[in-house]
Amino acid sequence: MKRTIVIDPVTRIEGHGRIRIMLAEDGSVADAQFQVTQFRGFEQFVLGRPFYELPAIMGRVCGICTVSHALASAQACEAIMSVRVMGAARKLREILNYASVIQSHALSFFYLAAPDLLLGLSSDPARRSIIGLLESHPDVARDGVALRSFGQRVIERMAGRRVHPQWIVAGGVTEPLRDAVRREILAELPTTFALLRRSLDRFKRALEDFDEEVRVFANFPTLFLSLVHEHEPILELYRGRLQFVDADGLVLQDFHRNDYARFIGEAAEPFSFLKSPYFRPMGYPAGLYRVGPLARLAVAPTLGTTLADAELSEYRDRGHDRQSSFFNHYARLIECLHALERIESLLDEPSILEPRVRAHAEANVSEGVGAVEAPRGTLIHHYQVDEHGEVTGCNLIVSTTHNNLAMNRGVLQVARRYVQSQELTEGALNRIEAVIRTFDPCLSCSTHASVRLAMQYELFGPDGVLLQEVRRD
Amino acid sequence: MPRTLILGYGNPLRGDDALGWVVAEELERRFADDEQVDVMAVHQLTPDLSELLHRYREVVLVDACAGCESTSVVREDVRPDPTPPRPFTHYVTPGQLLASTRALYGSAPKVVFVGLTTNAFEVGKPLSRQVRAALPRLVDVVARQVGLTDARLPRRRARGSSR
Repeated sequence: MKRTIVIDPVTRIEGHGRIRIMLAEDGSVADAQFQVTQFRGFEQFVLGRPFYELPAIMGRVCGICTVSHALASAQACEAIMSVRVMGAARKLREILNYASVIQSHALSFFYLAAPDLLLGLSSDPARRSIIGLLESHPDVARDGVALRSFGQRVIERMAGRRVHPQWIVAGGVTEPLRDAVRREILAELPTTFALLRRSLDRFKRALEDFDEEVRVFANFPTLFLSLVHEHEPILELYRGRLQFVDADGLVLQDFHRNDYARFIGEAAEPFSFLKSPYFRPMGYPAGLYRVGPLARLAVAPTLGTTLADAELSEYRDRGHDRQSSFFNHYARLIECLHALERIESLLDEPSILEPRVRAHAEANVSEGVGAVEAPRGTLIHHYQVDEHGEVTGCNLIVSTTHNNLAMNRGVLQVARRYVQSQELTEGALNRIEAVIRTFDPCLSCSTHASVRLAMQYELFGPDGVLLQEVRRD
Repeated sequence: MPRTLILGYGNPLRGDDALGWVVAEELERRFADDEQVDVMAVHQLTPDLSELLHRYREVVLVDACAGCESTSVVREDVRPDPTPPRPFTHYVTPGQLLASTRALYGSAPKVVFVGLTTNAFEVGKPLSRQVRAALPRLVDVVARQVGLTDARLPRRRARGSSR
């Protein structure tokens, strides 16, 4: 008899989603779906707004990724204004982006993943949380809280508040950096570097306990997408060129953000509000790819900072295992180290205190695209405006959206390994959720509306038997 | 290090849920010259606030309380609550925050909650008339809690503020 297993909600992720696992007659796993059950509408309700309002509006897509959305939105606005933000304003934005990466990666690694990594994937679910970690590993919990707090304090000091700051605007930022703030941030760097070093060493020692998870957690060859520096072979998080590479690191496509629609297609599936982007030249679904920390370390030849590049070299010695999404956890710690080094370097630049940090202009062209590397991956904002500068079109491709196909395939891979038809264990269910956690999805960010949605309706009887199914394309 | 933290929280876009921010803004002005008091506002209580709380001897939390339609001042001492938060771990209650602070750092401040009961949390609406009328009373309760007796202090930009 066919059965369907539903995990609802998926815990310790940002946003609302569920997993459906369909069993065949013989009890084997036939298919699995990661379904995003929440619906947003930002692309619709910004229509008609003046373009310069969008950084403030788009920052509210999410409370964790707020800086990333504001930055991508501001870039798209500046394209419409035909201005390019340079000098101190650009550097300040980069610092804020790095701080955002640190606080988000700290949340993902310590609050959402560490309970699995330290308490065990089959441990008591009642204690498998940051609170459980406080009791069993208070030193790890303190390091996690401290790292997240550092990132949030940088954002608050520079931009005025931790969540939904209004500092990033079309044309630059609203205020320059004060030297007192610069010195406060620099003073915290030594202890933050130290805790990150402890965390990396701790994680690398623990890796050998997860050989099986490394082997089956979305471990398959895919393409990878990331920003890279426009002129140098290093990682770029704020502004650069987009690059697709294959599983062996061969560059398949290098392109300007304005050309994203030529190479990234978006498909819709009826079982989820989350779209499925794919690499157009390879078609759907063969063109599946990944973004995020794992992808960035696959695309960028180097990171461009000393300590992080040393870690990157050791990480790359692990060979083909680097295809495993489990290594997103490792990559997040390396990226935090890189971000700290970049923050220190930027704060030491003499021009960082310059008072002029904003350009002013009206809409000069009718279309603009912004692209940044958010903590979870490549984030694209694309706007169209009329002659008055009012928004007539908006498309967002959010980091988590890029990973949809890979997450679905990852869930299927883990389900086939751990789900046995006659025995469904807590550890098996948690591992299926845990593969999603390696991607650190932000589902609040990732769902947006097209004018017409493909929908699938299912009617179940009281005994759980499917009575009727209706598709609307 | 300052002795006291006044921490307002809530969603400033949802009607009376903004009162934590409004009170923090007013108290920021009153305590502008007081080196012993910091004032902040955040959207919600999160576990990482433990790292901030453990540095103070006293913390006053300010928020709206979902309750009956009549507006009244609520003041209560917060007790540590060691029960785990819901699976979406970016939100904790005052008691959970106090418990995690104590567990992480071996000590914790005295935490007092001060708020107003209200039912007006509609998205996009300003503070209700009843809450606006009760705000001066609430501000005075918080100010007296941290020992401020004279409300007339010269204005100065304070640390830890929202913009």
